[in-house]
Amino acid sequence: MMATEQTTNAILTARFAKMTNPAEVPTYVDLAGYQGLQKATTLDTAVLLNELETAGLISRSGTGENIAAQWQALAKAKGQTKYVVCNANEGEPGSFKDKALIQKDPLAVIEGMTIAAYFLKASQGYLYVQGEFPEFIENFATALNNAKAAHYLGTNILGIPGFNFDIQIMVSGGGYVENVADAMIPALEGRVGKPGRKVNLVKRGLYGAPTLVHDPETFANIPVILRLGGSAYRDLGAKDAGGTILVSLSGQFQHPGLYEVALGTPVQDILYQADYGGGSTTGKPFKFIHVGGQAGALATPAQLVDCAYTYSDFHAQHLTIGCGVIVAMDDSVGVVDYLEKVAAFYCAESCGKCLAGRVGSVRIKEQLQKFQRHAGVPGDLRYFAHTVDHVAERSLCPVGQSIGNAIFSGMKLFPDEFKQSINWDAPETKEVPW
Amino acid sequence: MGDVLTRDAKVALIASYASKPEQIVNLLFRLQRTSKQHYIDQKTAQLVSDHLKIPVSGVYELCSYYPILNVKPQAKYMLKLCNAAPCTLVGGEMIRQTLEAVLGVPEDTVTEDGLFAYKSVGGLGACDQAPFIKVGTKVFGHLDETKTKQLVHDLQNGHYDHEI
Repeated sequence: MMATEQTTNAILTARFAKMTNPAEVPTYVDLAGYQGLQKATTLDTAVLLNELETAGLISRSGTGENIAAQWQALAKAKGQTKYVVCNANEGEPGSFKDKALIQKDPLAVIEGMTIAAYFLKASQGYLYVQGEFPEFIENFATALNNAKAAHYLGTNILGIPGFNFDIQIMVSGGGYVENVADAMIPALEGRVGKPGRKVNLVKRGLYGAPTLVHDPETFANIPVILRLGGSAYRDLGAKDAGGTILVSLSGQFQHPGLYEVALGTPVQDILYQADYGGGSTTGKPFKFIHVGGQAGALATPAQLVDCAYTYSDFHAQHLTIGCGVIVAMDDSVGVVDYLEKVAAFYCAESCGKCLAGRVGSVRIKEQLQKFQRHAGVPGDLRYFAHTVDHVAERSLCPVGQSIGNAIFSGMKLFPDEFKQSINWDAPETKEVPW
Repeated sequence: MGDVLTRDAKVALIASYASKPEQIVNLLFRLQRTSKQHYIDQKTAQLVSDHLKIPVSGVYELCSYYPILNVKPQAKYMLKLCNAAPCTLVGGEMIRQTLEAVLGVPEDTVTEDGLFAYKSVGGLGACDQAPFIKVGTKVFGHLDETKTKQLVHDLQNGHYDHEI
């Protein structure tokens, strides 16, 4: 079982410890379940949208998009058929929030999707979930069946004529790139999950129809917003974004695990307070913190001293909240060693579609391995930076495009570790033009 | 590890997807879960091709692209490790080396007795329990060298067969 801590004002994890069987509808209803959907069906769509706008919900998938704006765009989109998709692929190293929701509160995700379907008049939804976790799939399937039996899903939901919505589980084969819509859409259509045509979800998403795509955490927030009201939800968070967020702590924390954190919480509290990360498990101070997932940048603890866990504070530090991942490492970990693992992940997860992603990620990993062996020569660091830039620039999708974020921040924060990997007496390398 | 379907049951299952070919990965996932050695064999791939009316190369394109689908027989116990930065650098590499020494085979190679193989996978979602090994649906977390060796021994003796 993954550690799950509830902090003050828990709204997403509040039911986790209270439900013996999280797929059971009566228990879910007893714990404020389906109040959001009930409320939604009493509201005019403009009022519902206004609640979302007031709430200030930002996508928890890592894209940082404003959810009300997305819903508004989808509502305006032309087309009688619209789809609602929950992307629970979550292959991000260091992230385990969506798995927790699917496992411990699947009906909250289903309720959020159903509210979206009501708003968009969509009748078909999909849950895209990793086949690596068959136990979660079974749990979600049970929750779907239970919701249908209780008339919270299926036809004439809540007795409302014409309110029909069903959710089909679609197994993901486990590719990281399918977190990107350009790759997930073909996968949902039964093709290989690689970026093909550029997907515009508003105009031409799944089967060419307008498609709303969120991660499970974003969907789980929707019923809460409607139940509490947009204003009360916003008050739980910060000025720039409302609500709480699930944060996955891993690496060398004393208390790694999943935490529900109010947006605006000081980062120092998350890193060091005993009821959150609790500081370093090794007794040594943290050397760097990797935030936002593999595509995020590294930061020093000093950078984060006056920083709140908010989108604007992170933006000001050139960091990203991403999907709530925080990985901490102490000074026993070399930054080149860490970044080599990041690059190796990109190599392994390249879908092979574009040359930059397929070959470029390998070249980046090889150069980092050369630095690990202290076998660099003068000019290598410049060449390396050019390579990373080139790969990021030429990659087809956000996966390859983000490869430089961790690397460049690491080079900037710890230049000496890179310089130490160079034999400065060796002849200068001649850069091979691309 | 799942039951083995009779041929008729397998054909019936595949045929039930003929009208929903977009769910081919769901189908392959189910077929693999119910196969004795946890893989899609050639005959099964051909059956899928015939019933869903797609080239068999299309079936293999999916099987070779997606990490969860296998085209060769798997070990009874596939030990999965995380090779991403948050796990590898807090003991994951030690676990990999221990398994290599104990099992005597390189990564992704089945031991002679057919019992074990180990494989590095990214994003297994148990980073807070690192270093860990996932077998089936069970995560064995916070391992060290001794616990890893004990785990192999316990698996060998069927201790966790009802849990994974």
